[in-house]
This record gives sequence, C-alpha cells and structure tokens, in this order.
Amino acid sequence: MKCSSIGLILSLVLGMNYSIMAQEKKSANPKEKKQSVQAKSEKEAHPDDSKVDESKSEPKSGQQDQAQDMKKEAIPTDPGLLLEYLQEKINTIKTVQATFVQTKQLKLFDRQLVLKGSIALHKPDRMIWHVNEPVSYTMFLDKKHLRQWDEDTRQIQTIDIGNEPAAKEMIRQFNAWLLGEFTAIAKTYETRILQQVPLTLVFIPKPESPVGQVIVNVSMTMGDDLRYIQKLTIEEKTGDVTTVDFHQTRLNETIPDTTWELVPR
Amino acid sequence: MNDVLLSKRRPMLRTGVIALILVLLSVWGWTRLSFTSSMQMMLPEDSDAQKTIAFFQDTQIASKAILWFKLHPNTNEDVMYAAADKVLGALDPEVIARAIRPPQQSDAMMMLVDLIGYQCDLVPVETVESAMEPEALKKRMREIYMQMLKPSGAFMGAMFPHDPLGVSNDLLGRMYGLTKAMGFRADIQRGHFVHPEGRELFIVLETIAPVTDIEGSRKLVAHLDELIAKVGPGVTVIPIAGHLHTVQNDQVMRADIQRVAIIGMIGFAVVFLLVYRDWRVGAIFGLPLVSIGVSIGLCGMYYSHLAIMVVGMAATMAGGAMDYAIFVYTAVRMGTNPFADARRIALPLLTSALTTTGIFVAFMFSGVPAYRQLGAMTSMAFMLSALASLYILPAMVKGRPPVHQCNGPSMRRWGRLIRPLTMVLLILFVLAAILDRKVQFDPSLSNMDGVSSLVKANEHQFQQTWTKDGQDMAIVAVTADSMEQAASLNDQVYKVFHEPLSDAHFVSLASVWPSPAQRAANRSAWQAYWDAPRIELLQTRITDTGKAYGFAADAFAPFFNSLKQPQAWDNGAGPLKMVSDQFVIETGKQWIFLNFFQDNQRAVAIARDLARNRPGVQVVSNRALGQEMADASSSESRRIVLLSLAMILLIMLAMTRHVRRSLIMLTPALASILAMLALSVLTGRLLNPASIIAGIVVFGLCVDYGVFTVDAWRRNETMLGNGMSSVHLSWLTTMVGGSALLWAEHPVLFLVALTITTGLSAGYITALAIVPAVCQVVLCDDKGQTEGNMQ
Repeated sequence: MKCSSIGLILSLVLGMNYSIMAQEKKSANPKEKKQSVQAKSEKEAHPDDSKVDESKSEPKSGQQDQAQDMKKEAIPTDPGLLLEYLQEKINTIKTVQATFVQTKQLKLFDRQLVLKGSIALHKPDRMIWHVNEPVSYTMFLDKKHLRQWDEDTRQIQTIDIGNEPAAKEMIRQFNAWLLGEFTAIAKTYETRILQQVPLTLVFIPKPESPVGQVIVNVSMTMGDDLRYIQKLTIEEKTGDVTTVDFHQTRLNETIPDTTWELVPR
Repeated sequence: MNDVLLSKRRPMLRTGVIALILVLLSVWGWTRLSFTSSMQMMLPEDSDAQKTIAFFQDTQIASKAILWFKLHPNTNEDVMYAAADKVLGALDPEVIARAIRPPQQSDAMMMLVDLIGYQCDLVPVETVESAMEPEALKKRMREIYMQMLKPSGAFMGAMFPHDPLGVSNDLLGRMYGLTKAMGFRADIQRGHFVHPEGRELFIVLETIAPVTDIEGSRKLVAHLDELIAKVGPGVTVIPIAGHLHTVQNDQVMRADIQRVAIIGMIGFAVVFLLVYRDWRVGAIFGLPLVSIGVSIGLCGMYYSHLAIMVVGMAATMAGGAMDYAIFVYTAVRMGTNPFADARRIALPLLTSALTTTGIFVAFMFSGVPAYRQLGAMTSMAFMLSALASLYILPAMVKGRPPVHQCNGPSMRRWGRLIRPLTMVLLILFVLAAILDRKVQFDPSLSNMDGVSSLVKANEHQFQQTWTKDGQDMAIVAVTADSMEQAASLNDQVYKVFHEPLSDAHFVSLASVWPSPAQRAANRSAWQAYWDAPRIELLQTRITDTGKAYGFAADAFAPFFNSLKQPQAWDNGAGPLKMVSDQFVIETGKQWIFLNFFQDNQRAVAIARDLARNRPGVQVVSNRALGQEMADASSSESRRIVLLSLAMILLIMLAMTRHVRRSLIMLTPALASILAMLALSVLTGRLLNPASIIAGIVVFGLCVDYGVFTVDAWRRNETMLGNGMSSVHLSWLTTMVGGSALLWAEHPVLFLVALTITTGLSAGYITALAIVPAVCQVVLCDDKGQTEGNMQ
C-alpha cells in the first residue's frame, strides 16, 4: 500500500494526529456504533452503485479461466508499454473488495506489526479501509471527505478534503495505487519489471520527485489476470518495510451498504 | 486706498527691485527643491492611512505582480504547468527581482522533521514536566502504537523517535498554520500555487519598479505582455498588478491631454481672433504661470520635498488668477493712462484676490502635508498674480491705442430690465438648494482610477476565485533597527495578539520560531532540566511502558541523543528559511516582521486596539485603508470648507466693510456651488475629491465675477464696460479650456470639466442676471440713490 506518499503523510500527520485541520469530532456512543457513514447524499452521488452488473462480477473460477487466457496473450516487455497495457486492464474494474494482511517491519518496534482487515473501493473516488486486528480502525475516503474512527478515541473524525490540498493529494495517491492509475504513477516513478510470473513491478521514485525523499522503492505483484494487485511492498529510507498481501479479491461486485459503515458492528 | 496701493513715486523701480528679489529667492528655493510622488503626503499626519501607505512603500509589498494562468476546456493540465514553467524561465532580472515559489510538499515535510530537531530551542521546558508522568507516558506510547498502525504510520516513524513525550505536537500544528498565511485558496502542485480544481494557477512576481514609478511600470507591463505572448494555445494568462493602473492612467491622461490641447488651442485661437486680437494678451496667461513658478521656488525655501501632485493642482488652481490680468488688461485697454487705470480697479481686484487667497490660507491649517503645501503655494501664486497684474501688466499693455468704450445698457438699467429673469433664476437656485440636500460624497479614490473595465473585471474575478470567502489577510507589522530587536518585539506581539485574534487565524513566525533571545532561553532551560538522573528516569519509564507494545530499546535514541548533544545553533530562520521570506523583510535600514490575520472589520479593530501605544507595531489592513482614506478625505474636506467660508467672509467684510455688498459679491460663487451640487445629484455622479478641488477653483473665479460685477454696478458702467468685459472674457476664456476637457476619457479630467463648465456658467449667469438686479434692490435707497453714491 502506498501509505507513505507525501500527500498522505502531510494530511495524516498534520490533520489527523495533531487536530489542526478543520475537523468535526463526534462521540461514538453505543448507538453510534450502528451508525453508517453512507449518508443519503453519498447514495445519490453514486446511484449506479447497486446497478453494478452482476453478470460482470466474476467468480474466482472465472478469474482463473481468464488468467489462463492471459498466459496465452503476449505481455509487453517494455515497462512503459506494460503500464499502458495494465492500465487498460484495470480500467475495466469498477469495484474492488478484498481482505488484507499488512506486515510492518519498523525500526521503532522490536517485532513485526501484523494487521488484518478488509478494503473496498468504488471508482472513481470511494474507498474504505478496515483494520480488525490487532486494533479496530477504519478510514473512509470519498470525493469530499476523509473520515476515520479508531477504538481508542471512539470518535469519528472528518476532514474536508476541499479545504486541504494535502488530503486531496492523499486521495490521488490512493487512487493511483489501488485503482491502478499507472500513467500517473509513471510520472513520478521509474518502472522496472522484476519478474514476469507472477508479474512483479518495481517502482523507484525519480530523484527530483518529493516521494524520493522518503521512499526507496515500491514493488507490486499483480494477480493472475493482471486486473488487481496481489501484493504491495514499500521500502522506506528509514529502513522500514511495509507489505500488504491482498486475498479474496472480488472485482466488479456490488459492494453492500454495510461495508461503508465507519464504526464496525 | 488706491493711492496707497499704487503710489505714483518711482513705481517701476520699486516694482522691479521687489520682483528681482522674489525671483532670486525663488531660484534659490528651486535649487534646494525635490519632488516626491509619495501618497503619504496626501494623507493626515500620523493617521492609520498614512502609516499604511508608508508601510507599503517601505516593504514594496504593493509592487508585486501576479500572472494568472487559466486552462482552456479539454486541454491537458500539463499544458498549463509547461506554460507556467516557460514563463518562469523567461523572466527578465532587470524588471523582475524574483518569482515567489511555494515550498515543495517534500520540503514542507522535511521542514517538519528538521524542526523537531530544534525542539529544545522551541518548546518551553515547562511543558515537559507533565508529559514525564507515568500515566501521560503510558498514554503517549499507546498513541504512538496506534498511529503506527494507521496509514500515516510510515511518516510518523520518522517523527516519533524525536518526540517520545509528544511535546512538539502543538509546534507542528502551528507550523502548518504558517503555510496558510497567504490567505489564498491554493494547493501546491508541481511547485506552483494551483486552484483546488486544478485548472488554474498563479505566479507571484516580485518586481523591481515601485507601483508609483511610471517608467518602471511601463517596462514591467511590456515585459509581462512579452511573457504572455510566449505562452502557446490552450492557456489564457491574465496579469494582475498595480502597475497596470499606473500605466493605463498615464496612457489615458496623455491621450486626453493631447486631445484637449488641440481642442483648447482651436478654441483659444477663435477667442483670440474674434475678441482680443492683441499678441500682448499672452501676458494674461503668462502672469499666472510665472507666479506659480516663483511660488514653487519660494515654497522650496521652506519645504524640502514638494508633492508633485500638489504642484499640478496648484498650477491648475493658479489658472484662476488669470481673471486679475484680464481685469487689468480690459481696464488699461479701455482707458488712456495704464497705471491710473490699474489704480482705479485696484481695490476690487485686491478684494477679489484676497478673498480667493483666503480659501487657500484655510488649506494651510490642514493636517495633510500636501494640503498645507497647496495652501502656501496657491495663496502665494494668487497674490503674486494680482500684484503683477497691477504693477507689471500695465507697463506691458501700455502704448496700445485705447479701445472705444463699448456700448450696451448701463448696469442699473440692466438691473431693472432683468428683474423677471432674476426672479426665475432665483427660484431655480432655491430648487437647486432643495435638490442639493440629496448630494452624497464619495471619498474613495477608486472612481478616480482611469484603468480599463477589463483590468477591473480581472481583479474582481481574481479576488473571487482565489481568496477564501473573498477575505484578504491583514498584517501586524513589527519594525526595529536590528533583526534581534524586531524578533524579540515580535515575540511580545505574538503573546499579546494570538489569543484575541485566534478567530481571525492569527499566524506568526514567533509561534514556531521565536527570537534568538527566546530560543537561547528555552535551550538553556532544557539543558538545565535534563540532568543525567532525569534522563535515566525517562529512559526507564519509557522502557517500562513501551514494553507492552513492543517498542525497540533504541526506539527513541534520536531524542536522547539530542538532549546530550543539541542541534547546532541557527541564528537565522533555521528549517523555516523556505517560508521565512513571507514573514521577515529587511529594508536595508530596518527589519520588519509580518504577522497575518483575516482582514475583517472586527479583527482589525481588535488589532488596532492592541497595537496602540506599542512603538514599532503597526496594523496594516488593505480593506480598512480605503475607509481610512475616505474618512481622512471627508474630515479634511469638512474642516477646510468651514475654515474657507470663515476666511472668505472675514476678508470680504474687511475689504468692503459692508455686509450686504459682501453677500451680493458672493452670490455668483454660491450659485456655482448650488449648480455643481445639483448636477452631481441629477447625473448620479457622487461628489469626490477631484470635483471638490475643481469646485474650489470655480468658487475662486466666481468670487471674481461677483466682485467685478458689483464694482461695475457701483460705477454704473455699461454691460460691456471694464468690469463686465472682464467677467465676459474671463468666463469665455476659462470655458474654452474647461469645455475642451469634456472630451477627456479619464474620469478625473472629465469630472473636472463637468464641474468647471457647470459651476462657471452658473456663476456667470448669476453675475449677469441676478447680481445687477439684486444690487438695484438691495443697494439703492428709496430715492433711487445707490450706496456707492451715498458714500
């Protein structure tokens, strides 16, 4: 996961942790536990959400078939062309749901931190990131807001993205990595193909890019059908390494309303 | 009295000696004179408006230019960035000092990390004590752990090792606030200030030319046009700069002056050929010009700096002194003995000159330096013109064969004939007086700006597009002779101002990076506090509380290392050097620290209150400036008008020693004011400083009409005799010049023309159709004898 992008960093450091951005705190009492962040307005903003064509959502077996077809298809070896090729593939995706295991090897701790949770994405601009273990934490992003909740504060914190360029940059970074906006990524990173099967790419920040001051590289392993990310590893200049493994990835399936609830049931 | 004024004994020699002395003194004055275009001269001394203008001049803040890039629909954003970069690469260093670039996001992030390294300089040690408590530490360790699980964890990994106690949290928050000081609704993308919607950006350019420098402004505008021409299709670039106003006003003025000069010359040529037919009439125009030239020099003996605007205004007003020369010229041309003829009209002429001078003497009591200069210069010019008309002009006009006395009805007969018309006109003036109660004064200078409507529209659009809620940022400026002094004073200002102005988002460099003195004090307090036992105690507590979360033994090594070996001392802006330009200005003589807050009425009032009695602290509000200038202008106008009226009445009464006659003499001037105000109401044009200045000139001329007409009536001259001919010629000549200005495009010149033509015509009609009839009624006794005859 490209969590350490500069936009994300500034937004989170300055906004969430130090409470200096415009924010709206709401106490999460037991009743609020059932609260859904999927406001009516969001439904209105995405009226086609429930209309995702079930026929297009592919069961795992279908993906495996497609993967076999892919093996027959010639994949470009030039990184630039490959990114364009992947971009085309990913453009067919409207929704993504998956579980993940995030492993953090950080200098601050003498042991690995392992997080488990789930993620849901709805193009073009809605995403929810649930962590279930070892703590409960949720982050929700849409076009206008960034909202988060954790079990310690038990409060929903809202940041108006329109007023915060850093938060907006964070959304862009999330979209770029999780929705596979490879053309945008190619502007900031130099791309190398690490291995063909499974297809693994390494992105090295260009020296003049801001990300280059923090990130050593990002490696990304694609799923069999090349339409979703299976594994993402971020190596930072501090020596910290974060790996996210995605499992049970489901593409173009209707995302249930309950998935968008910020406070877990 | 005339004999006293014009003694027959060796008049030429005495006049010559006095004139020579005055000219020599004037030449000496000219040699030590310098001119200034500073706006400060035009505002009351020690007023907020004057201080604000001085601040803008000292800091050159108003001399910035902006290029606003707007991307066309269906054009890729890259085109806009490429255009902006191309423009930045083509800046001419002789015109533009530098482009102000926003810090890169990565730079901003590095700034945060670096800043934490200086926490012993920046964070008061008192905040550490409570953070050391075991409960607080436990909470902090949990907080760090939680943050590290969040997506933000990666960056926090770089921050937490330096701050296990969390004492820098507020510091970082305030640093973030510093980046918002510009008050623009702009993101920072690819090194540019970009609109949140991503399809517009702007570049801020620090220009070399002050906004008042016409030539420098012209160069800058030409360079901006060149830069804009370099931008290819797909992007529109709009310049926003005060220099555009300077250049466009200058262009319009120049074009107007050329047009008006041609029209005026044709008019004067017609008047000359039909009326004067005498080359020596040039003296009529020359004497006021020479008088103002001598007056400027004489003023130079007292004032070392003269406002250039005042010189222009004084020259315009001194044009009113032309009446005296016309009066003497007609008297001499119609008589047989030039000096005797001049002596005959000396009293009414001096009555007129002293009354008009009285108006300008009132200016000398103004709180505005430029008004005082205007008063001194114009009073001198009027008196010199009057005296030169009496003493020098007869010598220049003599030798010309006398013109036959023109015919026409006598003044008294005319006074009787004209009564029905007088009644109608008096009713009209009463109606005008009723109408004038609706007159409104617009003291703002914006309506006097000759800039194109396109520039005004662009500025309005820029304001709407880029500022938050249309609000600018106001400034609390802290000035001192050295950086250390200014920074220390800025610390105090921050302590006093930030709480009351928190709603207005008060932003100060001192909130993050205090003065060297304060930082040194913080550092020594930290060093004294963190002795070995205390460091060991903290290490133990962190190990104990951090164990539950799996913190590494050396997790906070950078913090403990910094206690043993603090960051190297930085006497400058430290890690904030990328943003400090925005907060610190060095003028060469002084250091100015700038603190920002939202420019609204309430906040400015609070800030002004706090700044009172604090030497070196000044509140600068762009929004309030317009109001301050307006207030200053209206209060000064009121004061001067009242003083002028008092002076006029006193002088008139002193010269005539006759109340009724004095009042009749003032009738044309009063009528001119009523007409000018009525025109303002009828046309919907608000009265403004330019029309007031023009009104004063008209008032002075109309006083002359009244004095000359009453004098002609008392002498029972004909309607085309000496006195009335002077009135006719004066009106005709001034109207030619005044009405030529009606073709001007510049709002100020046009307004001046409108005021002059309306006021003069009303004054002239009054002198012609009201004064003789009123004289007939008021100055004749029951037996038909005039008060003049009775004396």
